[in-house]
Amino acid sequence: MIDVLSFAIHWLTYFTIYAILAITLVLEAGISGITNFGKVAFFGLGAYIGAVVNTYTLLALLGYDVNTYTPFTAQGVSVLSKIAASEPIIVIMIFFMSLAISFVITGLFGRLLIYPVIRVGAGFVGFTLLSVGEILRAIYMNTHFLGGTYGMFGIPQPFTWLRSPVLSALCYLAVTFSIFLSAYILVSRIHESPLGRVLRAIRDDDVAALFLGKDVPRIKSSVFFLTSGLSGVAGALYACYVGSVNPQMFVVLVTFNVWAMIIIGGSSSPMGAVLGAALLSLVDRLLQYATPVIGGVLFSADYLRPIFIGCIMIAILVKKPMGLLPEKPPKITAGFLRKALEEIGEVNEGGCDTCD
Amino acid sequence: MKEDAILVINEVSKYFEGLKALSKVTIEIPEKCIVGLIGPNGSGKTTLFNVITGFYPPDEGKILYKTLSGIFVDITGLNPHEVFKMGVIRTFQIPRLFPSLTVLENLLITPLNQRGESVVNSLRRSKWLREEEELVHRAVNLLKTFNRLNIASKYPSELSIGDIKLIETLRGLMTPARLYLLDEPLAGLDLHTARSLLRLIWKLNKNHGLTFLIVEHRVDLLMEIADFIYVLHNGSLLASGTPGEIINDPKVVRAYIGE
Repeated sequence: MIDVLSFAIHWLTYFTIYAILAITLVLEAGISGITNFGKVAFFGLGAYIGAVVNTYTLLALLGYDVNTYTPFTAQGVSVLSKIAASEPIIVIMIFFMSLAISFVITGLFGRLLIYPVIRVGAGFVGFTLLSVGEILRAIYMNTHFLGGTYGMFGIPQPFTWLRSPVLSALCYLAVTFSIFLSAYILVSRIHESPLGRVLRAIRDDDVAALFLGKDVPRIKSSVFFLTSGLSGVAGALYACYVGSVNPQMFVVLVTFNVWAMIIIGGSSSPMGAVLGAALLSLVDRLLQYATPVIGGVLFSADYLRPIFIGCIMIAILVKKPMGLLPEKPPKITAGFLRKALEEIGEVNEGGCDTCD
Repeated sequence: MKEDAILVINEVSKYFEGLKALSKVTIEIPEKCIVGLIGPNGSGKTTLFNVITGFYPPDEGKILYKTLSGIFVDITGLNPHEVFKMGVIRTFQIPRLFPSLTVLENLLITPLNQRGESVVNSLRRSKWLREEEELVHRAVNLLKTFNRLNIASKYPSELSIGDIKLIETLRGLMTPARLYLLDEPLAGLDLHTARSLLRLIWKLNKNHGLTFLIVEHRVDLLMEIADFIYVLHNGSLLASGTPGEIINDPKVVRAYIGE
C-alpha cells in the first residue's frame, strides 16, 4: 500500500522543484516572450553543479583524495554516505553553498547564451536553447569526472544525519518550499510592477517597445539571468534530493513537461504555473507509485504518463484555451485608476466587463 | 546651420534596392516650433521618421540633434531607444498599441526611467507605488481632455479605429520630450477630436516650448497650427515655407494633383 505521508512529502518536493521551473518559465516565455525550449539545459547544468559541489568539494574539504574517492565508484559513494551521516554542519554548509554557486553560474551562462540571439526571432532563440540543452548532455556523457553515461551518485542529502527518513525529507521539503515561495513572490512582484508591464509590452511588440525607449535586449537578458539562475537552483535541489545525476535525466522531454505545466495552468500567470505544476507532478508521481502496484507484466504504468499529459492538455485547451488561469491586468495599477476616477467623480463605465 | 534649430537633417539619402526613398534631403527643425511635413503618398515622409529615430541608418548624410546643453550631437545610426532617451519621441502611422495591455497601461509605458522598471526596484513596491499613482493621474487627465475616460481599462482590440489612433498619439504625449515626431496623428479622427488634439499640441508648444514635426495628410487642419511646412516629393525636398506660401506654391499643387 502507498504510505500517504511519505507520498505526500515526496510529491510536494517534486512539485516545489518543478514549480520553480514552471514559474520561471512563465516569466520567460509567458510574460517576456523568450521562447525557452532549453529549460532542461539550465536545470541540468544546475543539477550537475550541485552534484559536483556536494561531492568533490565536500571530499576535498574533508581531506579525501578526490581521484580515488570519485562519486561514481563504490569507495566514493560509501565515503560520501558516511560523511552525510556524520558531518551535519559541513554538509549543510556545502549544500547551501552549492545552491548559491548554481544560481550564479547558471544565471551567467543563461545571460551569455541569450545575449547574441536575443535580437533575432523567437524561433531562433527557441532552437538555440534547445540545442544547447542537447550539447550539454553530450558533454556530460563524455566527461570522465562527471561520471560519463553513468553519472554521479552518492550526492549527500543535507538532512540524512537526522536518521529518521520522514524527518529528513520534511526538512528538505522545507528548503525546497521556501525557495519555491521566494521564486513565486519574485515573479509575481515583477509581473505586477512597471517592469512587468514593459516585459509584456516587449512580448507583444518588441519594435514598438524599442521606439518607446526600452532597451529590449538588455531588459530581456537581465530577466533571463534571474530565471536561468533559479532554474539552476531547482536543478541543484533536484540532484541533492534524488542523490544522483546522469545524462538521461536531462532530456528534451523535461523542457516540454514544464511547458505543458504552464500551458495547462495559463502561460502568463504565476499562479497558473503553480497549478499546472501541481497537477502534472501529481499525475507523474501517482503513476510512478502505481507502477509496482499494478505491476509491470504487460506494460508499465509509467508508459501512461505521456498519454495522460496529452489528454489533460487537449481537454484544457478545448475548454480553456488560455489555460486554467488566464492573464489579468495588474491589480495595483487598476486600483490607482479606480481611485483617480473616483476623485474626479467619473464612474468607470465598461471597466469591469473586460476584467472578468 | 541655424543656431535655433533642434534637429538638422543634412543631405540624408536612403535607398531600398534601387528605389530612392530619400535623396539628399536637407531639413532644419527650428526649436519650439510646430513644423509640418507633407507630401503625396510614397514621398518618403515615414522613411524620414524611420531614419531619424534609428529604425534604419541612412545610406548618406548626417542627422544632428541639439541636446539640452545646446551642443549639436550626431545621432545618425543610433538605436531607437537611444534616440528616445535623448528626448525624441515618435508615433506610428499604423498604430502599434500593445494588444494585451489596457489603454491605461499602453499610456503608462512611455515615461522614461520609471523606478519600478529596474529588476531590483520592481521587487520593492514602496519604491515605485507613488510614481505609479502620479503616472496614472497623468494618463487619466490626458484621457479626460478627450472625453475618453470610459476606454481606460479597455484593450486595443475593443477600440474604434479613431480611438486607437488617438491613443497612439497620446502615448507619445504621455511624457515630456523635446521633439515629437507625429506620423499622421489626425488620420481617422473625427473633426471634434482632431481639433482637441491640435489644441493640445498647440498648448504644449506654446506653454512648454516643445517642438513638433508632424506628418499629416489633412493639410487644412495642419495649416491651422503649423509655423512652417516642408513638402517632400519622390524622396526629395520640393518646397518649404510658411503655410501661406506653401498653399500658393504651384509646384506643391502640381505634386498633389498632377499636371
